[in-house]
Amino acid sequence: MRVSNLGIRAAGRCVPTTTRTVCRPGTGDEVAVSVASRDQTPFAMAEQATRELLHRAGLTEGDLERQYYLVCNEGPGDYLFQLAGRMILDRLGVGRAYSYNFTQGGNSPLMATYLLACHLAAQPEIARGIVAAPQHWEYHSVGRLLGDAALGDGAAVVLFERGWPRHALQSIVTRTDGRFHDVVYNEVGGWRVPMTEEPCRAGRCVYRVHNTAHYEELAKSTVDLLAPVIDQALEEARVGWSDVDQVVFDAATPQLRQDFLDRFRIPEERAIDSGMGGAWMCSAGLLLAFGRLLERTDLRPGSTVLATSVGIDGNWAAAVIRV
Amino acid sequence: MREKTAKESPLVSADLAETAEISGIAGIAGIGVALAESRVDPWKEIAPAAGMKESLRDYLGCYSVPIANGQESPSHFALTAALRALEEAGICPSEVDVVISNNITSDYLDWQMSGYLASELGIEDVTTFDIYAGCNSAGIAYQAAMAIMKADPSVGTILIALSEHLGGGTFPQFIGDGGCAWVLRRGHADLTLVDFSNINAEMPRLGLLPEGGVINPFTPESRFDGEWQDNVEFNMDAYKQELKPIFVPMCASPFLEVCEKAGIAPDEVDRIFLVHQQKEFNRKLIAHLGVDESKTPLHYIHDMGHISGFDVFICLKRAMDEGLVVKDDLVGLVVMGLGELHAFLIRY
Repeated sequence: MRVSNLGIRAAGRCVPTTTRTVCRPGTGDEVAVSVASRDQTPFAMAEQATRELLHRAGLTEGDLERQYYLVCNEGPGDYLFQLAGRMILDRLGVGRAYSYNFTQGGNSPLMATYLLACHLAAQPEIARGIVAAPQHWEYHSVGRLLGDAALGDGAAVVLFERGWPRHALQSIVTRTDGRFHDVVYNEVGGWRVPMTEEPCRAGRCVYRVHNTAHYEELAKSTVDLLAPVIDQALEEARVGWSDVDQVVFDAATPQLRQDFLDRFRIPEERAIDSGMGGAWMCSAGLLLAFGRLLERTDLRPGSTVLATSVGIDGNWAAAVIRV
Repeated sequence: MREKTAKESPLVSADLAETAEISGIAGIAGIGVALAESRVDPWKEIAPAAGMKESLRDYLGCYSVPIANGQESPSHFALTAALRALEEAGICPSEVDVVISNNITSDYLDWQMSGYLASELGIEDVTTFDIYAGCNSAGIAYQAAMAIMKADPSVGTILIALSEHLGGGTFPQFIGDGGCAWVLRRGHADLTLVDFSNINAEMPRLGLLPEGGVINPFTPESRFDGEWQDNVEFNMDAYKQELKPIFVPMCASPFLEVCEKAGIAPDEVDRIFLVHQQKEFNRKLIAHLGVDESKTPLHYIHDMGHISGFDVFICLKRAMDEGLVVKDDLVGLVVMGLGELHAFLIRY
């Protein structure tokens, strides 16, 4: 989809400073991941990140009234079965808003951006919207691992605004291969494994890889499968690879990160990632990278940025941004 | 078979500078319903265990609900409903560009039922996502789908396929199991959206599942009797003091708002369908809206109870099949769930 007249105005983050070392099973390498304190609940971190975003944008909580707040919902909430967006807005003191939560595997910030662009196109009275991704994996993962990814805690938010001239979206493309719907999920709490005492006490209420064969297939092919999505995003933005000055991206594992850079021949100096080292923050990762993009004052206005992320859930997306 | 629009015209635009007009872009080309095959008399099978008084019989107004057997999963209902909706629309699954599902009471938690449906239906070139919500997922999904239709001309067909599997519950009505799907088609002239209203604001906190989240995670010592639905702590005092006094006007507010936006009086709708709460509550709501009671088939509650927010699409389909909704009728849909309210005006 080609997009016009929508820019990234600000970003906010709340990443705990406490870290813990996680040993990645595939390679045995150790990764430092951020670990939330007792008070840093998912919604508290999202609230703090949103307050930081508002401060940076020079806006107040009142400026979010009747605006959009979309949440990438793969992570657990303060309590289960709550609507994260509404809970965060309540903490912020925001009254009426447009807010919902959705899942698309564990890597959906560009899907949220696509949906937000659509909503703003359909409702001209709406000026802005936030994409949020709170993450907390201490209790709802297996040892802070998701396949080969080491999971960190934190929250990241990005504000998109109608008519904002800087970091303007040019295109967004999303794609799903439904065969991989069964790679990651929480088996407890649905129809097949009801949330009863036994599976909960046994530690089965966790988000983890279930279809290992599909996971391994994806790990080998996901970067290649991303290529046509990127090509379409570039085409719809009416630019080519040679026009891309910077790539803002996120990858679930260091191996996928390297595969991505190698596959598309992107030098390190042209890559902006989450800055989390080898740790992964699921949907928050690319939002953190957007925040780092906004901090880059050396990029000339008008330069072209490709945004994408490499997850492990059968969904791909890419966007083109003009600084 | 129609080729996907994206392949014909990849350079499309969501221009946020232009004045948007969401009405008339796309219509509902097919609605599919899949309810559980088995039926129970809730006053024999559900009410006694729930301690419900027989005196509530006529207030609830429900005498039969569809309850799933051991093999009927949420995804079974969604897939069956999707196939029926596509068949009614005369659309090949491969023409679908976007699949939207829900996943708060799905086969698993946080899985991609939308991706499962795309896979089972053989839809390869597609985008899918799942709304994480309760009854309000019907309103959110429809609103999101129409926004996609407005903004992304490469999308020609959207399949919304939702299911709910909370059968045997008793609030706000006897709850049954089933799914409902509808197909939105660009340019389709029937059942087009005229306007919508969505009210999402701070609400009294009524229900909380104390264990299982980040604040109080499950441990090997967790005590958890029954399923999660049985362990939600419901704040009856807050319900009685804070919500009940305002519940009728609150549920009425999105419909009154959308009528005002559309410049019509509420009673100008030809038919209106409400999410199934208690039959007598829905009667009060209709009266509060100022709509003649004959314009809503309250008796649909008798053999359906409440399934989910998509009750309104099940009722719309049934009313069309029975000839209660005819061409050019203006139809109102009122959806409420988990503290969120939606109203839609559509033209058949």
